[in-house]
Amino acid sequence: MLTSRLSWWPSPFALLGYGAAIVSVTVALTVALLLDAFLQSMPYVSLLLCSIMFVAWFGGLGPSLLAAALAALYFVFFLVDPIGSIAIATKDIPRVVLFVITSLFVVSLSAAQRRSAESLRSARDDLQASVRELARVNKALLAENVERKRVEAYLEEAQTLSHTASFGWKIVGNQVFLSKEGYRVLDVDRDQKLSIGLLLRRVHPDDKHILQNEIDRASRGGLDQNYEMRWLTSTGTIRHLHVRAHRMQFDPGEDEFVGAVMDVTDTRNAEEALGATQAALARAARMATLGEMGASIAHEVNQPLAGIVTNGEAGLRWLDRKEPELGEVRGAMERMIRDAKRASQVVERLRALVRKTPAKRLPLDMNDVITESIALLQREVQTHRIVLKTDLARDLPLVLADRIELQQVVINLMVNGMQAMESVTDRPRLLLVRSSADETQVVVAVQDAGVGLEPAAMGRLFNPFFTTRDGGMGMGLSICRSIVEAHGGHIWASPNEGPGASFQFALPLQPEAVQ
Amino acid sequence: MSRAPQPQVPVKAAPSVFVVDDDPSMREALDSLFRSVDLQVELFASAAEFLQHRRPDGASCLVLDIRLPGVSGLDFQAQLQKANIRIPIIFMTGHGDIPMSVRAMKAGAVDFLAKPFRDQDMLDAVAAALRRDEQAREAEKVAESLRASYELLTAREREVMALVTSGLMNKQVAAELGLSEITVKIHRGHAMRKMKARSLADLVRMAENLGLHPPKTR
Repeated sequence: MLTSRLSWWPSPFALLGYGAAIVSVTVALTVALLLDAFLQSMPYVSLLLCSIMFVAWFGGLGPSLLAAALAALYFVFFLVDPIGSIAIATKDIPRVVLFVITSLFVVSLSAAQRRSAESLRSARDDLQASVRELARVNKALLAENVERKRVEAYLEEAQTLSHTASFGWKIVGNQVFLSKEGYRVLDVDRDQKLSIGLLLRRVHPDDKHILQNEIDRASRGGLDQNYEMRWLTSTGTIRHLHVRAHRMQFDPGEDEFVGAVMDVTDTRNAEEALGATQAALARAARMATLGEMGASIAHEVNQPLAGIVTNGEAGLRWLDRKEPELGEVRGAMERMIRDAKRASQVVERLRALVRKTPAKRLPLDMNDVITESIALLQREVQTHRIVLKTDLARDLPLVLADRIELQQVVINLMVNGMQAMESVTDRPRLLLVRSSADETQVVVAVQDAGVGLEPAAMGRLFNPFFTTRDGGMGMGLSICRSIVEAHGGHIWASPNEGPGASFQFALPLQPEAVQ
Repeated sequence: MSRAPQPQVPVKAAPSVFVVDDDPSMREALDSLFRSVDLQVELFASAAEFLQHRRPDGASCLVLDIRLPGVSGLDFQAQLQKANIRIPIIFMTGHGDIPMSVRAMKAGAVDFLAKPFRDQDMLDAVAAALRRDEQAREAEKVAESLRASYELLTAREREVMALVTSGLMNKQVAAELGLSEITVKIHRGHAMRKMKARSLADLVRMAENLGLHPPKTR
């Protein structure tokens, strides 16, 4: 830097070169003079040329030119007549010229030699630098490789642990790539050639359309995939696979789907078991509800039976009259048939409540559910001296739901409300059932005028085994919650402005789970 | 026998049965049953409906479901008693209503029948209830005419009647009222004639029936 900044000032090394030029030429002359004096030999020219060569080697072109000039000066001064003067005799001009040419030739030769030596040196330096760089890069690569191997090991371990495989699928050329775990998840031999055809052969026949549909969609330019399908292992057992992938482009024009395949069999099995347990629990709770409605049920069945008996007896009396009144007999028999049908309807309704059938989701008018629930609880309402009011929205949109399950929720909430008003004597025991809807959901509310909710209990109301009643099981509201949540809805309780509490649940018009 | 001559007894309203039950099939069945034995029947779905209906003069009884919408059968029984409407009640009870039935009987119900009941039991109960109502109506009629006769008595005659029927001698009555024995005898004679009493014993029974008490002068 310094040299470049002060480039007009020769560098110390250059000065040394010039110094060396003066010294070496002077020394060469002195030695030659001494040799001339003592040994009578005359090695002037060769020694001077030697000194020039030395300077050229040591100091480069500048000093060597100085040395050549100095040597020419000494040559003229000490060796050419008249000696001791810088004048040149005409006869000696060729000698001087020859000497100058020779020295310049030596200078140029030396300079060329020096240049090539220098470029050789710089080439060597460059080479060394690249070797050092290569060594550094190599070291870094080695470190990265170790790191990558570790990451790969982690990834593989994670894939094994989570039963998740990664895969790639080149749409053009129909090439499928799988991670190691992928072969385990799909239960495919590692040496087997993977293709869409193989996948379609191994997917569960009932889910083949799902996979085919996704493949078609991808071929048509679909971007993301997210689906589930059942898969057959080589032994024929069923696995549930969840596939998520998205479209990528590593090479132009070669679209590829990259994603993950998760083996969710355990999750699905657990869900199924949970579902079955919940269904059994819900059924048990329905039975319990029926138990609490015992008096109502007996009455509901007994009432038409009493009608049948009395009508039958009256009919016999009309027949036994001196002039049998057949019209009256017919009327009595018609009423008997009607009552018998009514009794069997009651039994059918009750059987439906406890029947062990899997939940069936059908489009449902919640107002119907409310009306049926009220019909089942008619007697309970009377026994408890409840003033039952309804406020049902007209033209309620349909929800996709299981009739029996939701009937159970409404019955549970109504029975709850009635029980909350058991101790109420100073005001009407008003039970209000409301339905309403907006664009996204249908809401059913059951409002009582009972003892209300304790703030401390609010958070735990819907927990299993939480109850404020003596002899209560604490399952009712928790069952309600699991039913409502299974339908993609939610349930909540809130205190009224006046006495009592309101329990409400909302069901979405478009359950998200259904695709 | 359809157009047989009417019984010569003075025209008397046919006995009627009132049925109050919120269950239509039970109402219709009872209607048929009672008509098959030539009873007049009126059907009501609620207690309020029955109260709005004007009751005829003849003997009647009420067949009442113990569980009714709005007001229970027992409360209705109490309401009727409070309103001084005396009508014999037969309760029909459903399943497991024994405690209510006991209360109903204690409150003066004629009978209670658990659904489903035997038709004969119901008809017997209704017959008994109608008989009871008939007797009550007779007694009421007698009491009515007694009260009418009693209205004719002067204040003094009433005093004399009350004291005489409480068991005092004429002399004691005279002393009690500060009258002469003769005057007492005259008042007593007037009272007996106006009350159509054949003997003193007759007059005593009438006083009892009217609920007379001797005036407390001391």
